[in-house]
Amino acid sequence: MEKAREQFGRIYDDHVEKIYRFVFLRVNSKEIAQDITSETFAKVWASFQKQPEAIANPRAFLYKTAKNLVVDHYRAKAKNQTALPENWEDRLADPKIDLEGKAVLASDMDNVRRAMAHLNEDYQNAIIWRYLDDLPIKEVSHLLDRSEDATRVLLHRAMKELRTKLS
Amino acid sequence: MNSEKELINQIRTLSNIKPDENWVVSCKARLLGQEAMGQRSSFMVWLKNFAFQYRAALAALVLVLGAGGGLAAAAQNALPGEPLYAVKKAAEKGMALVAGQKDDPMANLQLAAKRLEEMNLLSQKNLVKNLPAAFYEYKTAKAAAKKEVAALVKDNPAKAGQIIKEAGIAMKEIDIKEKQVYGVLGLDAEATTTDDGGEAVFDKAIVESLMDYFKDAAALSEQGSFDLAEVKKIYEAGEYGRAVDYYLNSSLNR
Repeated sequence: MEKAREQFGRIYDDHVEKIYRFVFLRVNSKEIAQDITSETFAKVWASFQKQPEAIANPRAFLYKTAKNLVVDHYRAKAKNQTALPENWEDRLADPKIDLEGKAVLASDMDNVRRAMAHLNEDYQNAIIWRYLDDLPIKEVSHLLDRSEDATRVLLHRAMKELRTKLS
Repeated sequence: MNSEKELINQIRTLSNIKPDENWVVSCKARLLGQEAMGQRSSFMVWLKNFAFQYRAALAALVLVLGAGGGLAAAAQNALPGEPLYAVKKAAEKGMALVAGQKDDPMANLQLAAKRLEEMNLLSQKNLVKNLPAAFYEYKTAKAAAKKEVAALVKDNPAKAGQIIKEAGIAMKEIDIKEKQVYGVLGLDAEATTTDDGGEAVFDKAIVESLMDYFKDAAALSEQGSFDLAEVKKIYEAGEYGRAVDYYLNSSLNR
């Protein structure tokens, strides 16, 4: 048990920053990102305790869990909220969502973050995993449940869409 | 706009998004308990054990050489994670040996309180990165103190009540302070004191000694009998830490 705790402690240290960032970029809220990231690690830790050998690639397992929890979050939100608020655009631009301090407020960063928020889920995930987290195409395709070729095409379209949103 | 490369560079600015450091530490503590906070690599543990004798000698040397200088004084104010902290701890050990307090539970409880205060100072100074080391130091000191109390009670059953009464006051103060410090750090005190790290063993031994002591003690008052029954009930439920807490707050400890 102590060994498992030590191993998972290292997994936590190695991945918490990236998982938090991935979630934050998907939900645009510090508090929600913290909640979902905590839940992600709690779920993976529960699985790890039962069957550590079943988690051959902790990074992929964490990303998949986080991705599913983000989807659950939006589903739950949709149930309580039949339509997006009318001021959706304004809400994205609200300075209150710039919760990471001055760095996040830097214009390049803010622009790209807001533009990303307008992309569909797969496009956002693909861009984050490939260009922000530097995952190889093979791993991105695994996370997206697509072939490597299909992933390359999707990435190309995602970048084109992002460029359009930015301009 | 933008070539592919420029666009990718712009995306990479998002890597500046980082979680709050305090949250990272407290989330890990909630998830894995304080054992993980104080986690050290086995190499570090080995190194620590191996170097103990040399550290003690070094500390003595440093204190002698540094008399009148600032180093010894600086070491006294060192906090976990800081370079001079090892010197401070080794000096404490040396002084305990000289004063014959090595196995004195009260001295060890005072040491645990000191470790807790260090944790408090670190949180006040926002030195989050040093908190895992402080957790480790505090947990170790507290467990050592409890172990001493349990051993002393076992060796002196006739004085069990008196020993625990004296130690109980210090333990109670530590628990109150611990709750305050954990509160500041946003930690769940219950979650961070789960008893798989060995503390339960000491708590169990203390409660067993207590029950033995009161079994042979003169007739208890009505309230005393009720409190003793409650301690037994909590003990039988396997909540040894809570049984000690109950005893400390009950009529049995007056």
